[in-house]
Amino acid sequence: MKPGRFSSRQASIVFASTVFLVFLFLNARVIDPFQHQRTLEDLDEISTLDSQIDEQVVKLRYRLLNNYDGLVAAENDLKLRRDDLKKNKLFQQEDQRIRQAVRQWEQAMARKEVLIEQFKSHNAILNNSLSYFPRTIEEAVRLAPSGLKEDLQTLLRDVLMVHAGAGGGDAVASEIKRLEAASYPPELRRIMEHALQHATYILEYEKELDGLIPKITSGETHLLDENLTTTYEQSFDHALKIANYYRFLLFLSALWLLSYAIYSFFRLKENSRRLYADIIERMILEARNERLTKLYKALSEINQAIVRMDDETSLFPLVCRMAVDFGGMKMAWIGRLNEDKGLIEPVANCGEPRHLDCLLISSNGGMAGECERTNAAFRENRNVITHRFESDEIEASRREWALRHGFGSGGVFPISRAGKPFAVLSVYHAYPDAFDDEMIGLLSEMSRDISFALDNFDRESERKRIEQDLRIAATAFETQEGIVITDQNSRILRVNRAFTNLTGYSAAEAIGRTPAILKSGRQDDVFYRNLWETLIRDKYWQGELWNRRKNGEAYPEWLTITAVTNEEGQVTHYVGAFSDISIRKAADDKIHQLAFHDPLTNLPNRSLLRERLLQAMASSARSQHRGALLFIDLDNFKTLNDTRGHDVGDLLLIEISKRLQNCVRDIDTVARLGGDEFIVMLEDLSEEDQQAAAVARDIGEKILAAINRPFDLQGSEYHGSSSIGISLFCGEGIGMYDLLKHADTAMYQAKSAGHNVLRFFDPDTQAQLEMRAALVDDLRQALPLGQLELYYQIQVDDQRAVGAEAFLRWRHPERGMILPMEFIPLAEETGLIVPIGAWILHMACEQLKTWQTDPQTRHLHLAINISARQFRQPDFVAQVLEVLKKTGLDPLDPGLELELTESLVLHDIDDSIKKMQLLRTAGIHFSLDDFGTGQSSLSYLKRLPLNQIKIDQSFVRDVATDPNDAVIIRTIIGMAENLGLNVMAEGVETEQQRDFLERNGCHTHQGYLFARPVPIEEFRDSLAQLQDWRRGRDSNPR
Amino acid sequence: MEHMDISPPTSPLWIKVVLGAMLLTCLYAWEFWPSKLPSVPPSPHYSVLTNSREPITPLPLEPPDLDQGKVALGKKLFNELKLSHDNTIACASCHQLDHGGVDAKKYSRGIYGQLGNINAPTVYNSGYNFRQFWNGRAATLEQQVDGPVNNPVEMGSNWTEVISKLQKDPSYAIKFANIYPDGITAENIRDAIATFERSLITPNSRFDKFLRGDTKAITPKEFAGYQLFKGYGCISCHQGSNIGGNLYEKLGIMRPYFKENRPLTEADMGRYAITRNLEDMHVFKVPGLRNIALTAPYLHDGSVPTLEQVVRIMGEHQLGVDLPTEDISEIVAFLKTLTGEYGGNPL
Repeated sequence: MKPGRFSSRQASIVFASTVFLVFLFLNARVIDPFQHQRTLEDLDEISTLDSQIDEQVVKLRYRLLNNYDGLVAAENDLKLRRDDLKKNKLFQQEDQRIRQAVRQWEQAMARKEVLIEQFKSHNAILNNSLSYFPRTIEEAVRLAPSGLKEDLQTLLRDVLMVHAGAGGGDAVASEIKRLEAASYPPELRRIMEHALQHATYILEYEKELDGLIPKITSGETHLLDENLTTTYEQSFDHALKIANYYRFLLFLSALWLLSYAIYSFFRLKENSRRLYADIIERMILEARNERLTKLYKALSEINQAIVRMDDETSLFPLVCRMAVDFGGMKMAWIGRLNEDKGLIEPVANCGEPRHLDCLLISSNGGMAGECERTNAAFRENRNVITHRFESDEIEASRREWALRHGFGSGGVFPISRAGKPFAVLSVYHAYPDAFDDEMIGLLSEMSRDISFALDNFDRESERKRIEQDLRIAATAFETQEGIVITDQNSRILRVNRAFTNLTGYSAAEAIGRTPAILKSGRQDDVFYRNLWETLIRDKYWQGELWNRRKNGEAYPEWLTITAVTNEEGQVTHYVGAFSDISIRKAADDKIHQLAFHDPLTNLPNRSLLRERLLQAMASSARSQHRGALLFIDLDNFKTLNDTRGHDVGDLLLIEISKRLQNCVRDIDTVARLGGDEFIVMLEDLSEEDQQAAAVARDIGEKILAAINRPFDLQGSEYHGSSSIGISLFCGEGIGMYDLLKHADTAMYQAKSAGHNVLRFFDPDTQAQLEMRAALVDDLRQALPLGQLELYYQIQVDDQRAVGAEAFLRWRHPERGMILPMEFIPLAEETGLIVPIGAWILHMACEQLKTWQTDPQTRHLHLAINISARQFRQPDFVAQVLEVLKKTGLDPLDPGLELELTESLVLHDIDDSIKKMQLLRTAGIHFSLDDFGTGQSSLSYLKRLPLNQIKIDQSFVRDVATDPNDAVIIRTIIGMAENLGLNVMAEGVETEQQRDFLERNGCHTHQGYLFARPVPIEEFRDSLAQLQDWRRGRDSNPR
Repeated sequence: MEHMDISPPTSPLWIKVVLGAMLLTCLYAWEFWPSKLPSVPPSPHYSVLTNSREPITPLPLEPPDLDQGKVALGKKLFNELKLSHDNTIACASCHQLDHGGVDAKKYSRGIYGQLGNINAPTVYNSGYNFRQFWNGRAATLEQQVDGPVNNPVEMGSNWTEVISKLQKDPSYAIKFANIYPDGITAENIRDAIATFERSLITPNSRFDKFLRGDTKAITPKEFAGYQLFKGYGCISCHQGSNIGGNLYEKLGIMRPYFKENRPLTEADMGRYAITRNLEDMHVFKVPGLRNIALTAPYLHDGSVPTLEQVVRIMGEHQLGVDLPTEDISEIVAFLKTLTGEYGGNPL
């Protein structure tokens, strides 16, 4: 049988039976019993709905119903049922009888629907006329003459009688005609026309409806409903019968297919059994041939591998794998003698079991079984074959092991190396008796090949080692170092290529002569004597010496001489190795140049300048000759760099360095610090400052002029200028860095004085700066040394002392009393104001506490000035409260007043307000100091929780003479009054001022008129004086 | 190799036979599988109380029992511009739910600004109409959807175009797939829109409250209007839960509505355009009067701007009477009580 023909026939059978089965199946399930039941329900419901429709129509006709919703609903239900009916297959089929029944029924239903629509329209018109007709008659009667009135009433009655079904319609119709024909007055004509039209409509539509009702309810549809049901049931029975036939057929087919399936199954089983028997027989015959073929293949693979391989590490696993993969062995391993343990240890294996721990085998005999076989093979260098593990005489545990792993037979083959036993190859086959003569021959050959390969490996590796030694020696000889070998008499035997390169002597020229040909004469005899002494003693010498090349050039070299001795210790040869170190020496010089010179201009750099400056300062200290440092900076160099590029900038720098060098003497130094900054150091000037400065100025002006000359930069002309700062020096009194800084500072002064200018560093400026720094240092010490004091000035209200303001004083040990305006800015700058402020606060509170214990001073309050830096501290409020608490002042009225300046408050007004409010709750008063000098705006004044504002003394001073100040003061007073604030005037010195203030409503004053600021010791006197003064005034008023 | 030929030759055949037997078993099992029980036939969409004393019946207060997924999808489609050829017109363009379900225009404008030939009827309570369109040419809301979509002066599109546009919108693909196994089809679009429209019910009008027994719900004047409405015979046609919408009637029973000097349009023909039966000339579906105060202008030609005017016209042509102005005012007052609520809010 050809497979192709077979499958196409098969496909056609499958296809045909599938089509047949599907055909049977589809026909068998034509009738769905549930569908059938539903159809019967639909038919029944249709019949019921049809009757309902009739009932609705009749009820509407006789006005038992007054809307058409029920009728419409029944009609819609019926249509839904009809649609549902059509889902039944029987209604979709080509069955003539059922189609006809459906068609007839649907046509009848359609006719009925049309009639119903007519009925609804006409019924509505009739109802309309019936409801309106009596109205029109009534109206007509009202207008009609008496004769007509009765006629109309009769007409009304007759028409309604007709409607009620009493008949006599024809008579009424003729009566209407008569009335229509009659003529009426105009006002009556229209209403008569309407009445008669309605009457006509009533008659007409009564008749019409009477005709419609029987048509609708004729029962035609009912008969057809029933007909439809009957026809459907008949069709259903018929279809059911046919379907049953198909079902039976389907059943038979299924039975037939099933029996065929069973038959096929058994036939198939028998066939396969016979075929498998044939296959096995054939396979056994082929197996033996295959085994030998494979073994040959394994052998050939191994031989090929041996050629490729260098050592046994990869060979042994390969042999094992070949024996298993190609040789048909179930397992193979190679064991090597481990001399330390006296065991043969597996080094490679392939096949199961993988772990061969149990095969550690003693090589010195004394063990039986499997070990014995291996040992025998190893020691006696012969093949040991076990043909059948199950029956041959071997140790029981070995037999058990072999059989457990499914080994039928096995063989051990010795492998020798360099003629000595080296390893064993042990192989196992699954079948017994697998090792026939051919097989043993092949495996023996395999182990011999391996032995041969091992010997080859050894020979090859020995050869390679010697070769490599020679290569190393040769390479070592031909290094970059010159090597010369002499005999014990220093006669040259051999030189290398580097020797020729370094000395210029070829090998031919050198051999036979002594190294003395290289002597430069730069070393004396002592040197050579020492050399030889060392060499003879230590057999070794190493050192630097100068030799001469063949071309006469002397060069430094680093030489190592080693004496070679024979076994008796006598020198047989000398080996000298040397390298030319002139390049390295040159490199050292170069490094020095790079480290101390600017690479662009080759001028000394900052490092070298520093070195020379130190030397110059040291020598000037000895000689008392002045030196000068000129700091030169090019003007607008950056612009040139940016516009013309760095290459051009570099050209300019090089040109300038040349001109600078031309401007100075040989002993002077020109250095470049980097960028466009150059330094010229002049040495050995006059001992007189003035003369030295004059020389420096001359040279500086020379430089300015030199740089002022135009430059030719890549063909275009460039005009440059420079600024020079000069600083003189003498000795080491001033540090090198300060000196450079002085020159730098002077240069900047020059620069800011305009370009092309020269400036000397000014010692006076420096002195000021230094003094300031000294003052800061002293101020730092002032507080701990107790040099700070508080002075108190009385404040009066209505000439009565109400308090005092505390002022800070610094009693400097050398400079005497220093006023706050001199040192407070310094304290602000350095932050010292914070500890000082804290101290003032503390002192003031202590003082207040003291006052509060005395009835005479109890009422006094004390004002202190708060600096911005102090106030801005985040914990300022906490600090103040802490001090209040510590000094134990009255918590409700501590009497403390803080004076703040406008600028302080305005700097961060929200923060200020917050802090002030907090402190005000602790009874602290706030006074705005120096009022009027700043922004003085009402808007912020309103927001601040102030108690008082202080008019600045600058306004008070001229109040009597300057009308502007008077206006300002009056304005301030008025403003304060409006805000409910107290006003205090500062610096009240004269009676006129006081009068003016009093007149304008300012009664709180402070000033020399009342008291000066005094130390606390004199404060009581001050109070007393004030009282005296007041008493004097009171008794002697002006 | 010789032994390659010995592979069992009968294997495919017996597999085939066993498969055949399994197939048969499956077919029999399927035939009598219990899940194939029939579903209950769908109940009619609505049923109306017919035995009320009054010819007008209130709309049910509880919302109709509808598939909310379809309602939501229908609402999206109702507002979908892609239903029109140039993506400018949605159902909601002419049936604006916040304008009484109409567009307050004489004739509506379709794509490219084309003017229609008939006044757009309200979409509210349209589920209660026994037919759709002024001439009743669609038996159901589903059939109605076909009309505007295919009408060249309305949406001017066709189902193939609409479906291909909707298929490009992934949100529709997902929504349809969740509801309809066959995805986006004309039938499913119709079904979703019609289901949404059935949810557009406006119950709880003041007159409905009155009908339910709350005699304070309408004023004496409005009540007088209702009495006139019944007395003049308006009620003959405008009855039932939708106050009309369940029969056809001729426009101009007593006096002809269409004047000699005015050319008749196809819309003016009414049912005649469908049946070509002379008896149906000028016969229209009687419109329901719910929310009538919101749906001006009136009549199929949108020719009447106010309720007063249309009541007067109805009196003249349908009842044959010139209604007195006071009566008209009372009837109009009554008609204004018919405005209901949608989704709990007054329309």
